[in-house]
Amino acid sequence: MKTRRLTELALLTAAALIIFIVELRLPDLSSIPGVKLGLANIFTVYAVYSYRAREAAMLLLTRIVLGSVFSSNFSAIIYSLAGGALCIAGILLLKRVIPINFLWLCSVFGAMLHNTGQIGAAVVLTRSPAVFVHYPMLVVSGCIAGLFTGLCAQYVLKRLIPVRKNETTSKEKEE
Amino acid sequence: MTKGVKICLAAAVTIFAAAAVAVVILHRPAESTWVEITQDGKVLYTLDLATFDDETTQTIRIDSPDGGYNIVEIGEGNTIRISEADCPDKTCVKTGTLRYESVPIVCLPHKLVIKRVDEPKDGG
Repeated sequence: MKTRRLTELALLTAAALIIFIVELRLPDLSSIPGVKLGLANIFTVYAVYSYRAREAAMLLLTRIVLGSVFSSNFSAIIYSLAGGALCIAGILLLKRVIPINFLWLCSVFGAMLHNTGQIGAAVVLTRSPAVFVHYPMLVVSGCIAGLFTGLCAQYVLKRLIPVRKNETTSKEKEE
Repeated sequence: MTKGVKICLAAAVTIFAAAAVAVVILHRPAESTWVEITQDGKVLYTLDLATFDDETTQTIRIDSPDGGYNIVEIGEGNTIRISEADCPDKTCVKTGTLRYESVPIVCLPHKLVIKRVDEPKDGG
């Protein structure tokens, strides 16, 4: 069972990385840094709702580190890490309140927290509160992007839950 | 829908609305012609765009302490933008010209910020 979990997580990380790299190739939606769909977020929320907290955090950390290595944009790693840390902490807490049917709401908060972390890191690193003016724009775009990725993750989860149940019941029968 | 979800939903809607209002307020066109170029929190230049020639283009090269550079271009119609940079993301170049009063041009890798400022009262 442990190997199976490890493989699943590795597969999820790989898929998240692929979608992350593909998204980088798409033209920028806006001139403001940080405004993007964040498709890899689908995997983060998915993992939070189907794996343990530690496992989901590990998946996100691996994706951020490897993602910045593969995209050769290493200077952005601090922003990604700050955003990711805040995002995962927020989602993990909200998961206790928000049931799986409202997963999209969790994702919206996750996206907003991610942008908050990024802007926070940017303000600290540039020592310039002027960067803060991008924040409202990022929150608006984060809400929309989070809604989209959240709904994606929710549909994936709803399709997968019956499959999982079948798998476990058939296994129990075998045993 | 449980109580927790309702509270979260209300919070999300409120934040979204507040942010949308803030976006509209922040994106006002600038009135002042003064700009300030800062790097790592230190002011490098304070310029009055109105004193520049309308037709010609001038560039300022700004070297970053950690090796990189940005080229600031003051162009036609007294616009200011970053025309070239050696950072990996090129966000500052993509931002284009400085239009709004409260939205600066930022180059995060080189910690460079160009923003509109009020006219200095003592004549600069």
